[in-house]
Amino acid sequence: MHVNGSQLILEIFKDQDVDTLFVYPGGVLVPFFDELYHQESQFHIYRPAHEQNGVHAADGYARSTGKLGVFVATSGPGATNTITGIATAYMDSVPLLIITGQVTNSLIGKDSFQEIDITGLTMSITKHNYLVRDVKDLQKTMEEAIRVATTGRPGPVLVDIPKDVFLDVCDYLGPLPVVEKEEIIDEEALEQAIECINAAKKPVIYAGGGIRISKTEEALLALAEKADIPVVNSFMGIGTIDRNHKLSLGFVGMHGLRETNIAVSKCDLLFAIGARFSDRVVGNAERFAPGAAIIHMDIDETEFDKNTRPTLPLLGDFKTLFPRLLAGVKKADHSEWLAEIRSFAAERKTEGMFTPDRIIETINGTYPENTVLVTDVGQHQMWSGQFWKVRKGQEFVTSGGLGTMGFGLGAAIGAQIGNPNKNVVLITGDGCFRMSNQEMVTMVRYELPIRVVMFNNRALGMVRQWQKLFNGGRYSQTDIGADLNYVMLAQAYGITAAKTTSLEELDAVLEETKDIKGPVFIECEFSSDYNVFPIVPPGKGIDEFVEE
Amino acid sequence: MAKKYRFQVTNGVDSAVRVIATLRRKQYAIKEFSMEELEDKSTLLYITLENDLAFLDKAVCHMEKLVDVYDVKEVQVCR
Repeated sequence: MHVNGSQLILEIFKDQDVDTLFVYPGGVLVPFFDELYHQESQFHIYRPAHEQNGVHAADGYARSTGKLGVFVATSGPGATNTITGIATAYMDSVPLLIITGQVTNSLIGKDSFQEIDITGLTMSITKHNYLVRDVKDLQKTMEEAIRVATTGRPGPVLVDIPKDVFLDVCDYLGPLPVVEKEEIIDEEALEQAIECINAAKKPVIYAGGGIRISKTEEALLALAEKADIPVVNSFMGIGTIDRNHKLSLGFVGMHGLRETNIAVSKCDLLFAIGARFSDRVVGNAERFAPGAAIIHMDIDETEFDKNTRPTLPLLGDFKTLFPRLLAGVKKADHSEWLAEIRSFAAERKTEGMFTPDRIIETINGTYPENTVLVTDVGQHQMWSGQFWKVRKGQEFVTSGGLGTMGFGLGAAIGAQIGNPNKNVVLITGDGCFRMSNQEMVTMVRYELPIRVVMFNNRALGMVRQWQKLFNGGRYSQTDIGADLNYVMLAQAYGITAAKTTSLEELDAVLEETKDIKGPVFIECEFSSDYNVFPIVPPGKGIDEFVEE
Repeated sequence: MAKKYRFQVTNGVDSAVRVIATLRRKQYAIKEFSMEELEDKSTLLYITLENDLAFLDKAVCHMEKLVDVYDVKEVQVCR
């Protein structure tokens, strides 16, 4: 088939089952969008209000579906606007393909209008990137880019394409053959790991986002149940085990629940699976799981011993390793250990109050099943992690690694597009919402029935909390004021909106709006003095948390 | 301790920049670097790193993780 560069890209998408595109047009992309115009019926195409949110949408789509997320941006500012989105995806290992238009080959390097060295700028935040100077290289590059983004440890890949390459002509004869790499398992390490698990008296599994990426949640559950091992999660690992399961202890680390952090501190074996021992999880590394042997199973060798003392590394694809582990571990009973862990739990004192924990539980009560929960970043994110009971088959979409304020609304849009038959609830904060609220127009344009719940404490709450606890209450630039009527702002976009200040009001609004087909905005206003507890102070071990 | 590594890349100076940028970000002390283009248009690179031994051994993993880098070999222990 004789095609130009634009047609070639769309043919590759069709052959690689990419049917959903997030795009924002621009000058150098006119040839590409002209071709897209002719093929619009063959793709689902979404245009955000801003490129950063467009990348977050492709990211939310990828996280919530397990498919490749694609965003197309123009050169110069269009490309630079994608950077925060790309970095967000990179830190959380999300498979994204970013296509940026570039100025014509003859203008590269001449400080031309809207010319930027985007491959140079994104080198350290992409799994790989490419500048395609010749249409002859376009097919190989595009197919390799998709493969790199989606295989091994996934990540964002950027392909920069000059305007003339979109117009130049080449032949397309279908996908190129792919050589699969053979996987080698370290049998000795595997045997050692099985022996350690079988010998442990107080084991804990520390399950991370790698479980979700590899779609091995069922295997994790089977292993945990057979060996009777409680499971803690990294923030990215939330949802890999049903939060209502008796072995689920929630997330561990800086804001981990009391019993969760103590369990890790007292265990004699910590089996980390697809987790990277982030500083937010580990705290003071010297005090992290001090009495435990640590097994670390991962697909990325560079993660071993990065943030902890030497561990027993178990390298490989989880789909291969889990069945071997499951066959080797013995059925065990750790009910005494589990009871000991449960005895560490703290009592809550917020019954009936309009506090963040009860607000989240109320929303969770309205949307208990078939729901994707998306969060922004800050206090509301941690409360969501603590109190939303993510069920089996649900998704928890959040920016864990980069911690990108403003991620939520774009990601929720992508999640809803990828999951039209699921409820999508976004829990955000007023600070985050100010960074992304222009995307309300996107929710309305595509009639996306997202429930946006905004916690309004008139503050950049998490930083304010640190100023309160560790800087003598000197609130420098974190009280952002009450100058904005968010309900009117949402209504200006044509969105059903309401403000609530009590659990009764919230319950009523949730019930009234449950069947509305389009987006709904709900503001929950409460004191800026509610803080996230427990909290591990900087430099302390995770068992040295501060409670309310 | 310092070690010299030899490796090949597929994208010439772009790959070279990627390797150096990666090792720099991972806090490796780069003491020496050189590249030469081979007849088949691939590129051969040499890099000398000075760090403690366990950390140096990880450098190979970081290089091999990059898509356009292959055949990484330790060729010399300098001291």
